[in-house]
Amino acid sequence: MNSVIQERDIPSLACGARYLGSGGGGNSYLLQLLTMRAIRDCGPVPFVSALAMDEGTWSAPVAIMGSPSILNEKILTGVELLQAVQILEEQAGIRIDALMGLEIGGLNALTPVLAAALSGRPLLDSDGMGRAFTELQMTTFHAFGVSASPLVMVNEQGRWEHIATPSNWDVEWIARRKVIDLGGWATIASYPMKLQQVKEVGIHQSFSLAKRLGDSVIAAKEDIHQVMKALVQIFSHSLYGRPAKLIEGKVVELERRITGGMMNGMLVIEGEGEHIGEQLEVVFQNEFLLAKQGDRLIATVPDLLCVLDVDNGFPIVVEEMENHKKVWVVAIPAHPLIRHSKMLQTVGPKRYGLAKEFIPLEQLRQSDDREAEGHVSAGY
Amino acid sequence: MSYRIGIDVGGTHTDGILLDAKYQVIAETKCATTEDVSSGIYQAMREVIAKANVQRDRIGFAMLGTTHCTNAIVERKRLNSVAVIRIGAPATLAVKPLIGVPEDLREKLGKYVYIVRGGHEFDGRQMADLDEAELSRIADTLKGKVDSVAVTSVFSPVSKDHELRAAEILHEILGDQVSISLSHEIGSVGLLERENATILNAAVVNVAKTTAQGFMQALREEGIEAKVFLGQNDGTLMSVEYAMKYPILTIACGPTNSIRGASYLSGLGDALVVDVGGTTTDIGVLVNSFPRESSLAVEIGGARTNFRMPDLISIGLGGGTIIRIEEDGSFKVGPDSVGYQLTRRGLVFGGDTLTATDVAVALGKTQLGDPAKVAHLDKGVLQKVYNRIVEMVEEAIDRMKTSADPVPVILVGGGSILLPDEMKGAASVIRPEHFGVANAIGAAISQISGQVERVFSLDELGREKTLELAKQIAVDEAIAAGAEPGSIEIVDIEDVPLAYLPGNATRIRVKAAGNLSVKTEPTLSN
Repeated sequence: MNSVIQERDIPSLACGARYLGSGGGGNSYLLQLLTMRAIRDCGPVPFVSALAMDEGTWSAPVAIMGSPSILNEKILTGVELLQAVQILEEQAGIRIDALMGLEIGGLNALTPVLAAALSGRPLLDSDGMGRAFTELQMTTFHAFGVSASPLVMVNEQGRWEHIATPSNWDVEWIARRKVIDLGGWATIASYPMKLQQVKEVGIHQSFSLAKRLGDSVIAAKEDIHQVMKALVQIFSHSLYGRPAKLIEGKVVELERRITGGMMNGMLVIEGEGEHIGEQLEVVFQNEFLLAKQGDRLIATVPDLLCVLDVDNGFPIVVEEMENHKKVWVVAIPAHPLIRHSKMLQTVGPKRYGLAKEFIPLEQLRQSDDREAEGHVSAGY
Repeated sequence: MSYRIGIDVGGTHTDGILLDAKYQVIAETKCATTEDVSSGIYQAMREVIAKANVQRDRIGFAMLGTTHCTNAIVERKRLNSVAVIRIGAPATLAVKPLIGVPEDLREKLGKYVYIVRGGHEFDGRQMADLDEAELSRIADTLKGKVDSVAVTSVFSPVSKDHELRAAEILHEILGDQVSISLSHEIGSVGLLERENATILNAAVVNVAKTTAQGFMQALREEGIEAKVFLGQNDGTLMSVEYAMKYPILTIACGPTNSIRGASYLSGLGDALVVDVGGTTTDIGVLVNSFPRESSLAVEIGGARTNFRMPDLISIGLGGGTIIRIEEDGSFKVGPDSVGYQLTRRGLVFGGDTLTATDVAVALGKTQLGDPAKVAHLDKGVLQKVYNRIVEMVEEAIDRMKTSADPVPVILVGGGSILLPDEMKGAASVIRPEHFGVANAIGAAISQISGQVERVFSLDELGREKTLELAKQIAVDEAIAAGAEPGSIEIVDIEDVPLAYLPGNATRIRVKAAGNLSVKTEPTLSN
């Protein structure tokens, strides 16, 4: 990406971030409108690599926490983001000279761009999730020892909360409850850290990856075969791995229920075409977490799972999934930092009670190929 | 005993039907849809009355499904002069109303746009006091400038207080001749989409008035004093008074009517409906006697709304679809069509264009026109064309099915004579009587419904009790709209939890529908 983010880059960035959402992260239509307008009014966003910045500079990730549906009704103005950063500066007694992403999947890929545009601060090409996850401590920042405190959350009325507690798990617990009181969503600024730390614990080049991905997908013009080629092309040339198509078919079962504020459930896809006779079950909790055939594990969190609409190749988010949809399920090996053993303690399948251990997609595919004995997979 | 007339406007034909009180078909007719739409409606109405030959004073109801409002929006013609008021500041200020709407539409509708203080939270708490003084000031400046106002308040699907109060203030200053559209009557959660729908509604109020009054006048001229209803996109009716207030709800009632008509004629509640017209084939899904709805946002005239439309696939295949065969035997099916000119331009009717209908006649699949006029054609190639036509429908059927198991398929629409009695994916192929006017029958037999869509907190009452509460609200709404209490059933229920938020906030949508009560007068509050 250039050294600035322009208005015209926003649709690409948003598009790429949908794939990195792994079925979660919320619809970003609104954030796109807001961010494009902010760039039109305030000028392009200075965009820099964390590796190129002075180690003493302070930075913080910004995001929106809460319900995307409520955000679509009670729309933020963007000022809430500036307030969150400013109050964090006051609370921590620092000056924040660069912003970064908390999560690169879904609408929060745009939140820091909006904040950077409105505040004139540069945006670092880094985030803490490398995809979308549900909770505040599900970050490489947390996994490698950065404190989420102080965390500041602000709503559209300018009401704010300040959370400072040693455990990042407690920060998440408290913030998740305060978000209801604040009206369903809040902007947050948290994990203040110096660039020296960002370099070590951040996932880098995630914004440029999302942008590149979006460019290629848009060029694929809603043809799912071309979209798949784009995904393979882009991810194979990144620190993520080569995507694999798990099944193509029809959603024949969809179960969604809410427990503890999480959208849990599963869907079953019945195979068609070269996958006829196969069935794939995909389990989700806000994001797609795991794919299995019967008892056999096919792919698991933190590797990414996308359920693509055959009509256009776009990923379908959990909230918008429909029974009878024709889809492809694609798994993408996660960034190596997300697969690190320390990260797996927070986001591994064991954490969700889904599987004993994380097995990388590549390994699962290899055993799959051995079983298939000479079956040559077509294309992907 | 009381008769009813049903009229449905399609792209090619306007169909009319007259039913007795037991819903038996007394007469049916098909007229060409006219450019002004209205004269086609009047024509169909007169024809069906003449054919039925029943006592005119015993025609008690007239149901109309029309495309007037859709056309007005798509063509950007005959739109009202509109003011747009959003209640929600300081939230929402960064995204102005009509953002993302095509420029020509925004120019027409975006002359008077205001955002005032007020609105609610998702749990019904007030976000800010309603700025009544500002509303009065706005009303003063609007005097004489607009004839319709759209009011949208943040979280009005949860609490409608601020919208109702705003309507009071506006009416007081602007008088009753200015119509006021309130968003909580129109859409669900999702501010921009609901607001767009409300603005479009405000824009077509006059079109709806003219249409409904013209129809009633035409009926009176025929000596008929019938109670008039308009079809809604969910397959139920609304009184003409309500339709004049909320005309946007008539959008896309056409496909719904034919799906509902197919259900009634076949006696099936769960099936696929294939409606073959002159130019296109619509494939929809019947669930519980109602069309399955799409959960995706629908664009109307380029504006995003959160309307629920029937989940349909439309393919470019109809009775008039033009078939082009090359010398090497390769061929192309449509997508263009001769449309209503089929009976002039089709080969079997003495015309010069090879159509899908000609192919079916040549192969003996159906009898129509003069088969001798297509006897010279190469049957081998025609068979390939026919196979492709059937395949196109089979592919569409496969896409709409929920499971791999075959399902019953109901064929309706004038063009359905093209299709065979056996198709892949179809457990059985049903061709009901009067299949050609299923849409008009759907309009005539429509029920009255009540609906609720809100965000509920399940923590207070628990899931079961909350669902019961929502059902009761929907039933009450249906009764208020004029449904026979004993006949009301819950026809649709959906609860989607809001992700990323504790407290079990869930969006619940319930629809109840019942037969039109012959005794009670429907009231304005739907």
